[in-house]
Amino acid sequence: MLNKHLKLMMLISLALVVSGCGGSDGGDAADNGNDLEEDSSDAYTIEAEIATVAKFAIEDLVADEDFLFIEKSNIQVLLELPGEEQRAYVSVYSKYQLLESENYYPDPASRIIAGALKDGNFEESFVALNNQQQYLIEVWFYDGSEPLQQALLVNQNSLIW
Amino acid sequence: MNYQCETKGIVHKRNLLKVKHSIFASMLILAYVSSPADAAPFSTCPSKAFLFQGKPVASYGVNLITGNYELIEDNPGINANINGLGFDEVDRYLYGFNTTNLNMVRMGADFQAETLNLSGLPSGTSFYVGDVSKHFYYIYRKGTGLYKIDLSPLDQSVDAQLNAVLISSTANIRLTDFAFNPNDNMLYGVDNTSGVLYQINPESGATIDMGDTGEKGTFGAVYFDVNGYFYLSRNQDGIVYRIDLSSLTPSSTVQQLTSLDVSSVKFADGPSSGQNDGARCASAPLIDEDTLSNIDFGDAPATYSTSLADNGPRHLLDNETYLGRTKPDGDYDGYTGADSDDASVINASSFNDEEGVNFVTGLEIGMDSVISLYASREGILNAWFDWNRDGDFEDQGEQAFVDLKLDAGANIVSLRVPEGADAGNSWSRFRFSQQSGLSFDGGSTSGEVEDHPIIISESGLSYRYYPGANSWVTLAYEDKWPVSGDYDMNDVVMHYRTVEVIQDGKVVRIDILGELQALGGSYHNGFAVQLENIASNNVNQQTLRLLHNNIKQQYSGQNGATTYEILESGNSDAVIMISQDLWKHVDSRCVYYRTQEGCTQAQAFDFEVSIPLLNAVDLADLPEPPYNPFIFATEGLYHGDVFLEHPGRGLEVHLVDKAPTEKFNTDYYGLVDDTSEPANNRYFRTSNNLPWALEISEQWKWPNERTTILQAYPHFKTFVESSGVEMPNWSQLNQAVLQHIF
Repeated sequence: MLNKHLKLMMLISLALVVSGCGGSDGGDAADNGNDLEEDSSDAYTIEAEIATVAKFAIEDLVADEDFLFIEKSNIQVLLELPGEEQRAYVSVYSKYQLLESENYYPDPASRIIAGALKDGNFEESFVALNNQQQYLIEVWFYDGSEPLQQALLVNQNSLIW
Repeated sequence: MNYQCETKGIVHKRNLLKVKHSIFASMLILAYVSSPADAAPFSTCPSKAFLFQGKPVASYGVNLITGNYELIEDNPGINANINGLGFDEVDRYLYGFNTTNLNMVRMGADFQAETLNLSGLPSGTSFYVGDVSKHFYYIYRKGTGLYKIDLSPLDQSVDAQLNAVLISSTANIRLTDFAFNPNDNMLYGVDNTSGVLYQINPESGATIDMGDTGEKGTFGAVYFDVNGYFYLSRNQDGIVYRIDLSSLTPSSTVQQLTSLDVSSVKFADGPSSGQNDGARCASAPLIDEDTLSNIDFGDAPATYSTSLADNGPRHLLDNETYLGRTKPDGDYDGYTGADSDDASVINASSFNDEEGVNFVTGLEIGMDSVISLYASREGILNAWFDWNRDGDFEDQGEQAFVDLKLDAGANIVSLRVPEGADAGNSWSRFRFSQQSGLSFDGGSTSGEVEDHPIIISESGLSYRYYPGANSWVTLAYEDKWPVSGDYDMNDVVMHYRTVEVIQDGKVVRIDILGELQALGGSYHNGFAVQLENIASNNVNQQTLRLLHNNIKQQYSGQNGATTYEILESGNSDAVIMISQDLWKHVDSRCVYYRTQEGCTQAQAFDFEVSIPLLNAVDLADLPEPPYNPFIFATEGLYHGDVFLEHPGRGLEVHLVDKAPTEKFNTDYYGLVDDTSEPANNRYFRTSNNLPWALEISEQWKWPNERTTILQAYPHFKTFVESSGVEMPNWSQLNQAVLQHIF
């Protein structure tokens, strides 16, 4: 009953609020007039296709009832260096580039996983965004030598070295 | 025009002096005998300082921030030395004293000297100390006195007669330059012999001893900036020192003046000289924000000496010396608090250029660690680590690399983390330059500074970062729930990332970091994160740590005598309260915070919460990041006409299909546009299945005020209607209608 009462009350004020300024309006939405309509009449300078899409009202947009509005998947990382007993450290990156030297150059900000190699093995998982299919794995030893590197494709939700 | 002469002033120089050819010798004679035209004044109040050296006097522009300098003009039109120069902000000419011919001159934007008609000075006397204020030229000589010359007759004619008026014949201080402080309009100078700073009253000549600056020498060129910082350039070695006089006002008392800390701090390495004079438009800031900056700053928290006010590190961009594959961009100041050098909104041209340093192994206490560095060319690296996590780089052993030579390309270096290092989150600073001997602060004439957060750890820990070690997802909320709002998705916009610390396959600690980007509504909202499946009583309250702008908090908020916990009690699953009212952390110069056109301002709030767990949690039982972040209504404040009473903590807005906490008022389900069905795990959706909050997989530019997400990002429609199959990149900047995003 409470809900119905509130809903009725809101039907009256909804028009004001929906066209209100900047989301929450602190009750001072009355000065906002038809700002949304004015904005939608702005002359776009982009191509016609985008302009057409942009005229589409948000009220007409319908999503699937299960859609979460972001793509995520769980990726398993499996790395084996049989017989490797040296102390070593593993990192997985989502952004990197290939240098002229044919070495990969990772973007440190994009490191997803970092951890020690244990008895030549490393196993971990992470949440991948946007269905990204390729990642860089690096193994660094502590003797100042060049790292081992592999850019790997996701295969059945796994990155296998 | 160039001519052949020997400039004796510069002692050690880069190749900056213009090449002079003997072929111009005859032209020089012509220049000296010709009468200069009435030169135009400066068009602006320049941010550069001017330095004058030699005979004939050569004019240099000096960047006080980095110490760089360049010759502007080496032919003043007269074969004379000019000294005691000052910049007149009224008519924008430089005024000085011709120490060769013993008369007064002025120079305009062409740096050509015009001789003026002056009487009233003792004959045969030269003056080396001078400055200008409010259209009066003041000159001083030890043992002779302080004089004042009204410049207003020059408004009518450059040939007007000027008269010097003696203010005081008491002149005991050994000065080689003085300058007006724009904040109190008093003269300041340092006695070369004693190193004592003096204030000189320009109307009476009375002096006040303000104490020892700690440095002696011939301070032939001194300057002020608009904030009241006093700069001294020492002739012998070119070092630029800075004294903080920014607290002085016209009403400062003698006691305040004499109790002020006037110790000088090394600021930059500038040009040395046998004979120097300086002048500057004191009303100008040191960095002109109307032009593209060519100086790189760091972005560590303020306690690490990052901003210019704190003498933070900065490098003049030479486009050759930098770390990483990307040339750094120019900044107008060091970024402290929430803004960073990676992507600054206040400096729209800023981008992520902090990618030259990679900690490719953990920094484990007592163990060796490897760092990969990429250098654009050979150069010199200095680096500091805050091992004891006390917020500075000043402690013994915190400079890990001293003048280490790097080769062009990839460099692999090792360091040992000290046994006494304190485990936890901390900061490092890397400075790469052609200069050696750099400190963690101060200016440099080339290169780049990169500040990097670090994790000092016990051995055997692994880390999972979401979405990356120094990357962000963006959380964007509409706060009108249960009313579907204007869908500009900017009522609360937060950058957000998580770090999971893993030991033996179990999570022992979770860190959550965020940066508030925008508040596009007037409702007051708090921000919190629920950790599903992690019991509230499994959080170690003793070591739970919440930082706001790098400052530890006791509470998540306070309202009068009421305080609010960080780990909220009364919940079975842990709920970490970050802030009770996000509006309390920002001081917007517009109605909303960073959502309206023309309302660009720096980010002002970031947070970091470190959540240690009493019992390590199996990875399989851990919720998936970003966990369950949500906004909630601030207690006691209006949150829309939907509610008969202020909803307070009972109103939450979550990402789609994320269940609210136990503190949520379940009476609100189904109100107005909400179609939540808890029995079906359906939460915070409209009848069209649209959400009130979005998680976006990158640093997202949010729509301007009153602009729907569809106007700003037209491809959102395709993305939604295809359930994410098409246009997964809808949120990227190259898909935005630029005029509709902030």
